[in-house]
Amino acid sequence: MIKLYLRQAWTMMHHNRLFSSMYILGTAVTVAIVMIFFIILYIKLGPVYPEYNRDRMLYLELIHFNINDGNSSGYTGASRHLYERLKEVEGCDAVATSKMAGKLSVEGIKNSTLLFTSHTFWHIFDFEFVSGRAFTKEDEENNVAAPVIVISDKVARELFATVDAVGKEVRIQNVPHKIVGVVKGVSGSTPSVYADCWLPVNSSLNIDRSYTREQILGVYKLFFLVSKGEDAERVKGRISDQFSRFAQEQREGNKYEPYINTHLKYMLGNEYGASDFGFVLLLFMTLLFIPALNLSGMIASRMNSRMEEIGVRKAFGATNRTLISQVLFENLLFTAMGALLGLLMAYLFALMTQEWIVTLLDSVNMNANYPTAVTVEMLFNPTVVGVTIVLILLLNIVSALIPTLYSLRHSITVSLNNKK
Amino acid sequence: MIKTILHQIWNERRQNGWLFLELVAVSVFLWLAIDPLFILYSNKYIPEGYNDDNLYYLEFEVKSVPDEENAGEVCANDFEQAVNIVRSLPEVEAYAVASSNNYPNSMGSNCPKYVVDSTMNVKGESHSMHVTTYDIYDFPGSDYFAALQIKDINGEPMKKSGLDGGKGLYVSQNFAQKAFGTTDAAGKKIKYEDEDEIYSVAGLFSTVQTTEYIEPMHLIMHIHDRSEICEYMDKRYIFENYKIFVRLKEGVAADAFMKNFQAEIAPKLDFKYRCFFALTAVGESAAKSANVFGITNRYRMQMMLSGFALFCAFLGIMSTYWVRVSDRRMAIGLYRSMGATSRRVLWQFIVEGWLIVSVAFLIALPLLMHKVYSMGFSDPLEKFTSMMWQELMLAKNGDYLHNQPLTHFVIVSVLTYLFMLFVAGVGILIPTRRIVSIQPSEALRDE
Repeated sequence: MIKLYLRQAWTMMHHNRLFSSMYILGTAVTVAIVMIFFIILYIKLGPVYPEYNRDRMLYLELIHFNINDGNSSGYTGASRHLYERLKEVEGCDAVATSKMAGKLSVEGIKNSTLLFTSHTFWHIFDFEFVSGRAFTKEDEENNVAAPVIVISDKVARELFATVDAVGKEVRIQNVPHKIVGVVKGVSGSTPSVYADCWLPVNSSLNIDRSYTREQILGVYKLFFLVSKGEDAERVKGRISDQFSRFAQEQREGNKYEPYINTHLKYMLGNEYGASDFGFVLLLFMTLLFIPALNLSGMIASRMNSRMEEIGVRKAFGATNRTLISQVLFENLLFTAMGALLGLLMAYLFALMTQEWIVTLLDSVNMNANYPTAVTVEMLFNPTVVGVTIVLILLLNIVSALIPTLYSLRHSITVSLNNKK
Repeated sequence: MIKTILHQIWNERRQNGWLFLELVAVSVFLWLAIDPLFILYSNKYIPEGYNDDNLYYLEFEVKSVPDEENAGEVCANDFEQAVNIVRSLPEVEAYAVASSNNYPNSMGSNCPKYVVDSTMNVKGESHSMHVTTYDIYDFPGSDYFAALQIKDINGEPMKKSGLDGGKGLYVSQNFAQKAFGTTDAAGKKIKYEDEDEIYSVAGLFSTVQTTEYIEPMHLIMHIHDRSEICEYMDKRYIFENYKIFVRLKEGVAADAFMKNFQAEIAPKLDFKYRCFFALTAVGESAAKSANVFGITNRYRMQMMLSGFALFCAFLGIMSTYWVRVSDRRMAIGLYRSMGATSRRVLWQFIVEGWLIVSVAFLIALPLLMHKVYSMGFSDPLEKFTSMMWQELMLAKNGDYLHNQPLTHFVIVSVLTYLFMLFVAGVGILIPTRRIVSIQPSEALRDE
């Protein structure tokens, strides 16, 4: 029976080409817009390379300070001293720190991005090593005498035309660094880990400027990987306690308040200016229903012209249930075609705008100029496909059910006489 | 023909009533979608008031921490040496030294409070206001106005005043109008709120758009004596806190200059604590700061939302008209069989559509007027102009179309009306042309 309905819908689609194409295009644009929103959301919040542990992460990126009896206040990052004090927290598998290397660059590559990290960084983020390994605690301890570095496959290819670069040297400000590992490159869509090269945090090139003399304040980010089965809130409490104890050792009268966030909070809002996710989600859901109403109007007028057919079907014993399922199945064909087109449009749009699409919903974003890239993994995943299916069903029901119910309430004679 | 059409509309009042209501709703919806687009575009095309083509600034990077006792002096001397090297390049037309974020579209701004003399025309008790300020330092031969190609209020290249070697406070045209109520403001008194020294306005420059996409703010350029550089700051960080701007001469190929600079000049800019990092195009940095502040994103987002709204309206109007015309297939068959030409039928439907769209739009206008009266026009960049910026933008410049309420309303209304006519026209023309092209008997038989 379903096959028959679909065949009928296919014939009608050919018969009413303008109607069909408008209906399919309308559905496609709606699905595309909503899909783009969900793709952004997935990249921001879902497990994407190399941040597969986002559900267990806690971040300390900002500290509100009020120092010198209130003469100076604001927000800044953490210091290395603070990292040293917080690197062992009960309930955490690992604690790591990182700091952007500012204007340092690898010789031979213009504007390469460098990140100073602790060796624990590699325990928290699941980088894929194309060759070699991460730098270890021992490497970090010996780093001043024998500087080491991990580079991305892109840098390796640019400098050595191969990813097999372990053991070779790169120079940064005339200091030779031995490559211990080459990782698959990361996108600016994951700004916590984004860089072209990663150096141990105790590198001689890592200079902390004088304004970091306040023991607690600096420009470092701290990452905490909560152990499986641990309550993140409880761990957050422990970090806050350890922080408070350190803060109390500072000069009297100075006040510090750390912002320790889960990944969700870290991505959806920060103290510089919250993202508009909540608002945009509401807006997009509304926008989903406006075209649904339009499509509904189109279905309603088409149902009107099919009144006779409905009358005949009813006269031959078809129940309302049969007729509703027929219309819904017919409509499902249209909606599915529209959704498929919409999905293609969304993917195409995401690829064409990959340099900025991920940060589209951000207000103030200091990382906005990182070269973001949308990878296949980010686009084709069960969540996105699942959302598409739900979306198709929702659109189908909203746009077809109401006009169908409305047209079925007429009696057989009224339906048959409709066009006479 | 009009009489027949009016009869026709009345005879089908039930169906036309629904169409009419839908069109009123779509008019409002469309108007609200076009309004922010108009504001964004109107802002985008405001003259920048400066020229960032061929304009660059130098960036230095850290070699080591300047921690020895005389490091401040060493850094200051090195900076001066860097300035001399750059200004003597034959390709450089003009150069200037200014505080780090003191140029249009930079990543930050400095907005001290000012008090002006009794003619000040600002509401509020303190008679003081925040104004974006660029601190510029007068090195030999330097000229910030020439480097950024800023114009005076007559549209001529801005010149420094002949008094005190050109040092002093220069104010923007929009600030002069706001603070003094006139553009004849040279010599008027002005002071920083928290300082005692009273300055005379040294000159007026034409309004500069300090942030891309956003209406120009009030602006003051303070040209200081170069001895004042680092007065409040640590000399050790002079390379970070000040920028050297260079404008290349007309006809200099930027790429070749960059290459040459990198190969021959950069090694000379290798000092004890800092060394050359990059020569950055000011235009490039403007795009970056618009990105960081989310202005570019807001712009893209609004374009997407408005585009989507326009598409929905297009889909709605067109499908409704298409269905309406197709429903009247039999009527078209009848007209044709009674001798009406294709052209006559087409015109009848087009005029009918035009009448319904126009009346629906006229009904929507008072609703929109009420919206504008009670809530104002939309403010797509509200987030970026709120807080302190709002104060900096007190003087909404009436020269810009979007700040003239009546013109603004008329332009958006005309655009909306034209769009609706276009969509309704397409929605009527395609199906009507199809139907009138078939034989009347066929059109009648199909029904």
